[in-house]
Amino acid sequence: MGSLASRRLGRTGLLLTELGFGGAPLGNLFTPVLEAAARRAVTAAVEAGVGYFDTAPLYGHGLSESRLGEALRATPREAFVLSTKVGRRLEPCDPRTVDGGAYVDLPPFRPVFDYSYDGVLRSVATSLARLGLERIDILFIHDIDVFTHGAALQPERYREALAGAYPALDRLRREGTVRAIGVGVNEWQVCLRCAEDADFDCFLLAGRYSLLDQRALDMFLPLCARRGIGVIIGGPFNSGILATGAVPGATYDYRPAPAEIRARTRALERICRAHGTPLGAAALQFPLFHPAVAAVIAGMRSADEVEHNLALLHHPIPGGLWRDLKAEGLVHPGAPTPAG
Amino acid sequence: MAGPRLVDAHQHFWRLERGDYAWLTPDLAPIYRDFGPGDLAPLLAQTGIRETVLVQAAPTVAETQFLLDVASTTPFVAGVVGWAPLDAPDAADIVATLAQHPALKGLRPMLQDIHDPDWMLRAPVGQGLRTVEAFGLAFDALVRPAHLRNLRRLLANHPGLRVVVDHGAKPEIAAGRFGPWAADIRGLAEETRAWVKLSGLVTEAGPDWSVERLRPYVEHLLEHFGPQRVIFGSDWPVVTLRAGYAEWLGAAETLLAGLERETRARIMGLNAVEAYRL
Repeated sequence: MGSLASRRLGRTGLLLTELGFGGAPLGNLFTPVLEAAARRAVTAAVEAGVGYFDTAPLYGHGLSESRLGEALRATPREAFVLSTKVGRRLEPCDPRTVDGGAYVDLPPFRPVFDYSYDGVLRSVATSLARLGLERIDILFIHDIDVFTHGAALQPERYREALAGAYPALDRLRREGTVRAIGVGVNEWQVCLRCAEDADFDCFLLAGRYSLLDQRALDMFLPLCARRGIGVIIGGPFNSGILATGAVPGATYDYRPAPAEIRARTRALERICRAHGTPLGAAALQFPLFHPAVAAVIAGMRSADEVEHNLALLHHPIPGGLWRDLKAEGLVHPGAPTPAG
Repeated sequence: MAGPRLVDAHQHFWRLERGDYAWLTPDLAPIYRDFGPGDLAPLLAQTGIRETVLVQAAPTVAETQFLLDVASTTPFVAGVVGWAPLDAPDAADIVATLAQHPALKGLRPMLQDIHDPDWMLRAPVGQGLRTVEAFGLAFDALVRPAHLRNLRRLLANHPGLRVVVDHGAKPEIAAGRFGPWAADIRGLAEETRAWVKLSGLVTEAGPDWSVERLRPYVEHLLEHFGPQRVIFGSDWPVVTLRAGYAEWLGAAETLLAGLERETRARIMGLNAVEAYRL
């Protein structure tokens, strides 16, 4: 054990470790995280060889960025790749009116969508200030999908992003301020449009290439492989259920899991058990078998979770597991998996 | 002697015609020539360092004898870290013979060049290290990050042995591989009483080294070993592949500038005096 393997992100020169550290939990996603625990989680990840960290201004209204930056400050800057996102500005607000959605115990800010050119440049400057680090390596335009904005508003947001955010990021890339630019979303359909309309280096796709959803295999992943666009898969546990199993309160895409998802998860669990494999190990390793995928990122809120995720990543999985999952129609027959 | 003792705890001399420096090949052109006291003396005069520890560079007893002879005629060499075949059946006799020379302060098997990472855990090596300890010598551990776990295991069996880890265990600074090294260094520092040498880091950082690139590594060593257990060394003439003698000394002084004067004095001399009984 020890060192994690690294892969090149598309055509960029960036090397990402196969497992990346998802920073959303450090922003008090679902439950608060103590400062010391947040720091220990990051330190444990660094010490385990994790070399890719992702965050966003939205995650805890800046909490995730400031905690991550603080914890990474003692680490040589060459030792890790850092991504954050643009598309919301944080406006001070009355502490009594803070609404964090799935995030709790937050500083008094209100996130306001802002995909304008100037708004994005300001957002990057404030992210750097919160991080307190000398540079950001990858910037994603955050949440320009129907998942976030709804079908009625999304087309307008998308136009704003392509007219404002994209030229701003492209400029930062040309100036060498960042190494790569991309889009960080919860659905791949919008990525197809982005790949047509602009020159992105990478996509961060959350929850849409997992043991519960492989529709990205038909068009999205082949396109990325062909174009040399690097793919980072987030949400390998679909926000919870693929880590916990179909327990009471299990979440799917940040909401209580519907009955159909619970039933499929139980079927996945049954086959995993038959092959002596924890469900979470199969969920974490599955996206990495696709050649377009550079890294999978998982949220981690404590040193224990870091250790647990590393154990899942290194857990040996018999090839027969994948064969059985495909035979039962739970995994797309065309999904790249090791021979069984 | 006025002021605190300033010691360079890690330097080499070699004479190529002796012919046992397997690692020293013509592609290391700038250092592929003889280096002796006459080359180092002006650098010491220039920097104010008055004493050095002369460290072996070949895995032979003959080279150690050569270094001890040099030490006998070179006033600034305060001690020699030599080599002995610690896993040999007659290791105790060899160590006993070498230890008769008052300049011999420590022994260094070239662990980094031994292919089997578990070599150091072999029983005869353990026996050899007990001899090193019995003769009051220090053990210099020339290791890479991959050896650190085994080194921790080894040292658990030799709590009385004085151990100096060379070159901060050679972190892979150029590749930016910080974390696993950092974790193992922390473990080593917490579990043992070993010293660590602040040396060799510019070599690991590569041609575009800078003080700022070294800083996180140096701060990590200082944080976990503490300033009582960090020892300055130049690794001259190897250092000259990347930086001049005075240049590395200046970089080290910059990196230590935030410490108290007495603390800096420990790192720049007193700690070496204690570790090697100079």
